[in-house]
Amino acid sequence: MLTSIIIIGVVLGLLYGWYAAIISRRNRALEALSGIDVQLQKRSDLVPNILKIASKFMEHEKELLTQVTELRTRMDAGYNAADGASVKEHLNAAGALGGAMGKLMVAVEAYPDLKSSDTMVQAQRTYNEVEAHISAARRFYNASVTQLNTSIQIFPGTVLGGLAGVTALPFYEAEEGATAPVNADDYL
Amino acid sequence: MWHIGKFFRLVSGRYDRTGAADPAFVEAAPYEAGFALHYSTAVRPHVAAYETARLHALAQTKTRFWVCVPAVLVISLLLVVFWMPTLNDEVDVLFPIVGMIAVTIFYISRPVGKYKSDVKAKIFPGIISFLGDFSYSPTCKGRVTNLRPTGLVPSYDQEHSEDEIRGQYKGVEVDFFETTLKRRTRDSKGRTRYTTVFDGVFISFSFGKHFNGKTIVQKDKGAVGNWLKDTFSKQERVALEDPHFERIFEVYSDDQIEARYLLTPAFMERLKALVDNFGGSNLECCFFENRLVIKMSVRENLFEPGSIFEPEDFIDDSRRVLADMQHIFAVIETLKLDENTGL
Repeated sequence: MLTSIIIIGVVLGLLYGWYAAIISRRNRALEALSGIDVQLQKRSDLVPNILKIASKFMEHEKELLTQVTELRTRMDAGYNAADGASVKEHLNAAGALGGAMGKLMVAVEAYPDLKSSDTMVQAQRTYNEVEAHISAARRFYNASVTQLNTSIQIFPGTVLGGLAGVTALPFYEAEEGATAPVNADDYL
Repeated sequence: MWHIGKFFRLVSGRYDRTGAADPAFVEAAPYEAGFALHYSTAVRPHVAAYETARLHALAQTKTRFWVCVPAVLVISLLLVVFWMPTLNDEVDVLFPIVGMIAVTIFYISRPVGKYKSDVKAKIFPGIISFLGDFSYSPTCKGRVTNLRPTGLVPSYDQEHSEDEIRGQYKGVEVDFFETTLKRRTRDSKGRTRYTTVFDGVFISFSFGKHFNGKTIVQKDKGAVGNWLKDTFSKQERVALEDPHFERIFEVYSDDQIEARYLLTPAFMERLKALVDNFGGSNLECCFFENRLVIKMSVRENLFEPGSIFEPEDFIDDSRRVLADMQHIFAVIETLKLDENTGL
């Protein structure tokens, strides 16, 4: 009898430990997600300034500038952090804005006056700094998501995760533009 | 540490007394390019005076040896013969004898010590000035205290720091010094002992990125050591993606994102290269107050004058100092601290 009680106690203790780990990892992943949002907000705040400077010079890039504006609006829309699909959509929007901004920064190279403008140089420097922080936040988020997803995708984590209402979160992957090959001839 | 051979050369007076007539520096290594001219203007004018000082120091040491050592032997003998029988505990006779020997060693070695200190204080700055805006100080006290908040400094009771070098290389501010840290312990008989807990260098560099928190990269302490650190540290462990880096180091920070902002995959590769270049894993660093502070165990005593038994021309000293400075520059080059690319 005593042995059974001890075994049940140990099993319950282990299950509770696993449950606590899932909750703590979920919270850590959400903390990491909010860390990304802080950096994305910095980028979002920077976009209007860059567009304002760029629009004076980049008359042939109206379409790209409009696309950036639209993507920024899409990314700034709210999302449900507890819902994996909503998070994925938010991160995709952030990735798309990052890709469009990347194209914009490359396009700047074709406008010597804009490229040499002090305000643009400063804006590019700040933008690069923000992108470095976004990259760091993404690495933290992905590391946290890996831990969370592993803990809820292995039995009994699958059951415990379901009971706690914790679902797998998506990874923040590099935007398509970042992984596409670059043709140097386009810029030479 | 003096070898027996050197000791006999000193007390017998069989050392080189013929200084080079007109010494000239021959540039051998790429980093010595241009030093020959600097040597002829900044260093060579002091050679004759220091050669005289070297011979004087050696002669003084020899004289002191032949006067003091027989005197100590005679006094020790008299103490053993006449004083020891009157003591309750005969071992007590050792205390004055050991004290006398210590004072004698200090007195005999003083001229050579002073000569070497003079070379470091007055010649080394002239050599180092070749490399640009660098200051050199042979002594520096209490330097480690300021670095305690970095978390790199082990618990210690005694500090001996020397060879402080400050300046800029390729736009990177450098602050270097050598140090030996010792901790006081007591053995089973209650006697005080000093154990070396760190012997090496601290180098602080300006860093191209702005940051607010503290991120420390420590050597991996094994499963138990890491668990203890994880449990009791005020900082959080930062698990990074590179398994090889994780095998060598453990990273702790008060900001997970900032730690990754500083330790980019490219920078992790450079830190691993630094470990390979400088040997072993006795390398730790900390990002603190917008500086990168590196702590490295080094067996060799850097920035020391050459043998006092050789004629003084400062050519070997110059080569050694320039080579030692290259160690510092190699850290900057390996970590690419001068390339402000954000990586």
